[in-house]
Amino acid sequence: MRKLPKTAIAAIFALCPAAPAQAAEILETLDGKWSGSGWARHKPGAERETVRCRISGIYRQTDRRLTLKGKCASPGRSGRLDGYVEPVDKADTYAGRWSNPFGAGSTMVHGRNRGDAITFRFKFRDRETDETVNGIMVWTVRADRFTIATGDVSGGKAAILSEIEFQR
Amino acid sequence: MSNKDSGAGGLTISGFGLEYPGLFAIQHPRIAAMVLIALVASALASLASIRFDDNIQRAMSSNSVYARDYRAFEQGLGTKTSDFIVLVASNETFGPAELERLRDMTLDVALLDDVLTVLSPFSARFAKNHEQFPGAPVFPQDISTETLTDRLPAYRAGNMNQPEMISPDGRIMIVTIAVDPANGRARLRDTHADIIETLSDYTGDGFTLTVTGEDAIAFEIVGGLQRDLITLNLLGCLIALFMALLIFGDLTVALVAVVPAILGTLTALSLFVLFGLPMTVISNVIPVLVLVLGLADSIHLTMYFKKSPADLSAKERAELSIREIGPACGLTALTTAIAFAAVAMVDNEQLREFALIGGLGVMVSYVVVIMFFAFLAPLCVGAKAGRSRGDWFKVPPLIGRLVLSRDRAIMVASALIAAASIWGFLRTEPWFHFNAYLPVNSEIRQANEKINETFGGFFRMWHELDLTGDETSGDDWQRLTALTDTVAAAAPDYTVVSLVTIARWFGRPETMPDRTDLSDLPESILTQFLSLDGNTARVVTFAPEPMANRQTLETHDRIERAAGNAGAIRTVGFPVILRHEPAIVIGQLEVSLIAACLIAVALVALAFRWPALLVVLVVPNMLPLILTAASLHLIAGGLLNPTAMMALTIAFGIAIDDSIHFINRFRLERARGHDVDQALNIAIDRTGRVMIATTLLISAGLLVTLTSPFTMVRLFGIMLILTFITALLADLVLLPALLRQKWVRS
Repeated sequence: MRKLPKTAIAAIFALCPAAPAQAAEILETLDGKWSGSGWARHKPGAERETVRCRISGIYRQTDRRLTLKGKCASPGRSGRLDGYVEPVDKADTYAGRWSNPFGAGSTMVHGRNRGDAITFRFKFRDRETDETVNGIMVWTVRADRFTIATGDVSGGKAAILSEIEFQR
Repeated sequence: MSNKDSGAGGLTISGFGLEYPGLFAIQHPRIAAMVLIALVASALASLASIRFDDNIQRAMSSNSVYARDYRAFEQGLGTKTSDFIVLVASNETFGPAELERLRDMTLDVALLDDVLTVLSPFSARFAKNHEQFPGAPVFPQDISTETLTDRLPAYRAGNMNQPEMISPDGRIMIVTIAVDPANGRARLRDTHADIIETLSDYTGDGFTLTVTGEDAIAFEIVGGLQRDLITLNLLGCLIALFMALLIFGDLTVALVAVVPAILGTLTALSLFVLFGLPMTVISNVIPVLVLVLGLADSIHLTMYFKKSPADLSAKERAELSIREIGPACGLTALTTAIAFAAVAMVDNEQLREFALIGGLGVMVSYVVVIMFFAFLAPLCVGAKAGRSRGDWFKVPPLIGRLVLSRDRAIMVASALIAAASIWGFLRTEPWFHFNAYLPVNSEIRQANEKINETFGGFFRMWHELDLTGDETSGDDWQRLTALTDTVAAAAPDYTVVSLVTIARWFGRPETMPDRTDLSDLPESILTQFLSLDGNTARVVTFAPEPMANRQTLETHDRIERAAGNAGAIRTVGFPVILRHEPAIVIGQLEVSLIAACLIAVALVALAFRWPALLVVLVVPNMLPLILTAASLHLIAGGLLNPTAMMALTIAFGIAIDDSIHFINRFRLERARGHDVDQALNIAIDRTGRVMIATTLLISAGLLVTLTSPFTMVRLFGIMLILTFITALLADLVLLPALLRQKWVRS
């Protein structure tokens, strides 16, 4: 995977409120039902559109796996959100599979925890251009809310594609 | 005791053995009691399992070409959806804050589990080649005043006939919610409830929200039916008791007449459960009909019991009543059952179910009534012989005098009335107003009218065009373009959508959009425009119900003609069914009415072994029907719908009952040695008063239909009452006038 530009990461992190949360507890914190609202854009440069989501997080103690399932909708479109994340052997790192409700499809994600945030990287194929896109997704987790922000960091430029804040 | 004992001789009626259940109950009271208790107990236990029909399309489920085409179309559609339509209405123009709230509402609905897509003004987008806002949503994330002054007008200017989902004055909006129906009706009902619950979070924000659509209408009808069934039956029972009390002037005797009828109705109701059939708007009237008919039988029997010789024991008097009146009651039940059964000739599931349950219900109720009477009369009425208040219902002596002195004049006058009525009936117009199947106070009914007024309608019609597959010639595209434009020209106020309008929206009207262009469309929407195999293109018209008014009917017919002329191989959809099916059903009901008439009359003639009755019974029983049909000009604006036609068929089966009782009495009196005029006078006087009492009773019982919120149930009740009253007059005046004729007696 290509290394992410620092500006991209900085831009996405700027969206996420900083708050204390223990890295080890992050996944477990997301257990339960969540309602989210925010925005998303179809592609870099496109107008923002309102998004609302309703998801459930199920944390399994045995393998410390968090499964997130739910549905997101923007005007005229809706899709299932489905994925799981679990810690890997290496400290503060995670791996999983993530399904974007708006067309990126199912893709493997790899993440690293820093403070109260986990930054995931993934690749997907753009259906219109048929090019591979480098994606980034940042989860910022607090006790009663969390944020998922995604961005396109292909070609060395960062474009934020969505930001959705979830509350219980 | 035999017929000869009663003095009736060989001239008495044959009840085809239908009096035997009553005689059996007298001879074997314990066995009969056990049978009746078991029957009533199982009927009571089954009441909780009665279910109501919530599938609107079943009302139009015939084998006509229109219904077959629609079914074939739906099967070929692939992804099928159930669409709920939300009407949002406000007294003020929606401002930015309200619009943002409403957008959140549409998104919350979209998050429900079985919801596939939600189309609203917020899902509208500019064309990809739009100069100012290429591909952008019409309503951006932050809705401002500028959105309403700049973007919305810009979208409308280049709309290319895409569905308008917000009214020009910005006060009304529609939202279409496509739901996956694959999980069954129960799950669909839950989703409907979830949608309403989600919307309830947004009501009170200065706008009203109403959920409509085919399935929402069905669920609303079911709610109304459940309330209606309870109201009709409770009120029916109360009125029946009141009338019986009025007639007999004694609570015990009134209960003897009413209780068997109520138990008979309960047993008839249980037939729905026994056959696993749901109740519908049409069959909702069956219990009330069965109740009043059972009560009429009860009153005939009880009145005869009270007048029977006091020197006989109570058991003998009950037996005499059953032998003398039972056959006539059995025959009246049979003719009514025949009228119900005749409705089964109509190629329609719901009407056939109505025929089955109605026909069997009447017979089952008759058996229960006559058996209970056999029990209760000796026990409860016993020595209460003599006059009853039923004697109040005297036939005016004038009628007897008129019949005996002016029989020819009566026949001429009747012929003139019949001719005028036929003329009136022929000028009625087959009509089916779908909205009239909703309760009158239904918010959905008003919402549908508002949607028709503002947006043209929400029912979809598909005009299908076979594609040759020769893309190089562009012929397919030209033909599809011509079809789209022709349909749009035929219905300028309706929304017409096809691949052509989508291509125009893309900014490439000359070429058919390819699969990549269309990839953003959900499959459930794409298949509306192009069949899964790509061989059939479809133009979709959003239309109101065709017979909402004359203008909508003209437009509908114009659309169908225009589509056919422009090459559409067929036009399908619920509006097409609503347009053509009722006329077919009415035609079939006309045949069923004639069949019911012929069979019932032949049966009665056979029962009396009197061939002349084949003619004599038709005249006084058809005249009230034609008169009632002609009266549709006064009570329904001259519009003849299937319910009215069916009411006439059932009315015939009941109206002939009085004729049977009258002729029965006439034959009994003749057998007792009276001459024709004496026998007629006695029949007019004695049976006439019972006929008046039962007609008033049945009509009063049917008055409860006027409390129904369903227009069709009210119309059914009004037509029956009108028929019974005119039939009573015909039986008291025209029937005896005919019976005086020598050719009849010979």
